[in-house]
Amino acid sequence: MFEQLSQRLIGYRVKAAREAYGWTQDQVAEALKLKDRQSVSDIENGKRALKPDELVQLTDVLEREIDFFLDPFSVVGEAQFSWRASPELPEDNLDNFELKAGQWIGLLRWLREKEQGKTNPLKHSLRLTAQSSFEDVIARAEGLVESFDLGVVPADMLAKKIEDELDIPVLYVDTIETPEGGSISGATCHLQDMGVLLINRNEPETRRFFDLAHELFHALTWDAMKPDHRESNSIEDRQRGKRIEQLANNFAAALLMPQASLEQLIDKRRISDVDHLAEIAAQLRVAPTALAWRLFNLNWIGVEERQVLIHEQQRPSVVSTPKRFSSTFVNMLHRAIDRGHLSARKAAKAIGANLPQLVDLFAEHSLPAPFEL
Amino acid sequence: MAKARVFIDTNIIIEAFRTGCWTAICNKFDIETVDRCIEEALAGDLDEPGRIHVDEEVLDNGLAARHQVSDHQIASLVLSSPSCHGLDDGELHLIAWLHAQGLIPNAMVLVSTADKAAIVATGDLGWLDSLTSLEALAQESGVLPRQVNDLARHYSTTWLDEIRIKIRLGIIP
Repeated sequence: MFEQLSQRLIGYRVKAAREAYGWTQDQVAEALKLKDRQSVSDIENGKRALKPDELVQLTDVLEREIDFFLDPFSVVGEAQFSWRASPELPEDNLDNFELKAGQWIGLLRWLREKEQGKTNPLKHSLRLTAQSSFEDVIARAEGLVESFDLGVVPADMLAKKIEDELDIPVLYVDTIETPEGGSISGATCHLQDMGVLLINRNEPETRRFFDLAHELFHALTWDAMKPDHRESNSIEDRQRGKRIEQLANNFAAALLMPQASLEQLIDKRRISDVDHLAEIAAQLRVAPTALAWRLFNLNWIGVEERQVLIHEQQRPSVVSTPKRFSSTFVNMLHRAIDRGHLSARKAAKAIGANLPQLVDLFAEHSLPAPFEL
Repeated sequence: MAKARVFIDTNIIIEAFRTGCWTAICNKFDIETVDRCIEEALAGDLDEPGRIHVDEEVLDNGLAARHQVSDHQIASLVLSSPSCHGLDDGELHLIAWLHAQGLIPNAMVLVSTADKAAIVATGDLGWLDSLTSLEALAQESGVLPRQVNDLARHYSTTWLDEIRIKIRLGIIP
């Protein structure tokens, strides 16, 4: 299985390199002295293994280093990202960060394959289409709360349920911030074998939970409603964004603030009491603004109350910053090094660290170093 | 009598310099390695505290041979041995070169590495009996006991034997 998978991954990279070089399959077939373009097609589809001398020839004709084709953690040619980033963030910064994130995701996939020996043949998706209404989306979100038994405060168990029930890894990462205020809130990464959610762990908790729910929508509707490569992470922009983004926001709002929870937590006699509503927002781990829009859309409050709540100060956070990556990811990494599947130094490079920093990562997750320094 | 050929990786070079036994082991054995291990040993990790300085001239003078590794050799190894996917570059290049030569396990050649993943990979290639520890090399070379005792645990024969036994018993990988 693992050999076959490698063959498929190399195929993706051959295709990516060929297309970037502007060559047809016929041209590659001729350069490699293959019978016809079908042989190249088979290589790109992982049906035919590349021989070492063919691979070396490819590095010459497509002007790529051998590592481009053989890096086990590369997701070149297959990963598709949808980022939530501030408009101030330059495209180059985002591209560079995407390369880094690609290594984390490639490493994660490699670790999962090592442990499971196969990829999950099933993928979850929401029963929604681009034609679905806001009401449909809200109903699906509330249905998910029920079927996952997320309880009154869905945010509390959301990440765990996403990983355990949906088999979608969630990685809490340090993203980038520029002096001009450019930042990344999160992303959905789509691969044929899995989806991954990336969340900026340094954002306020309400933002993190909203991003998590928002990205979950994209992961569960990727095939039906493919999001753009980049969307704004500003709350104001999100209100007037494209329809898919608005659907994602409505999904996130209903997932984190299902009507049943609101009915249980909010004292209707105090529906105009901003203090009370801000407390409920804090309990639900959402920003007062998010609750204001949710209650307004439910017709529980009017424009005036909405505006007052939008401007209400957020209550202090009760949840600490999540540990880097995730417990699942770091434990798999630990086992891979400990069992001799992976060199510690290669692991450190893939996560953008040196060996002492890798030891720190394990310590953060209460794990001893699986190697000697 | 001809010296035994011993192929070493980046970690072994750095630890031999740290403990001051480089010249002694080079006098006793024909120490060989590949270009990538030399590059890594000379560069070290600039961000790593306690980085060991490896003197290029001393390194070069001690080596019996250094080998260039071709893309073809790397491709041949990686495409045929999935257990090599998780190796860091230095170990990957060293094993790729040895794999291409076909010396091991028949010829009297030793390989020294303190990287568990590299040991697992050599196990998959049937080379476990060709592995040796830096401690064994140092002892054979007449290095002072103080220097031998100064070696980190994963350069000891005991540690290497533990890993080999775990591999043979199927405990790892």
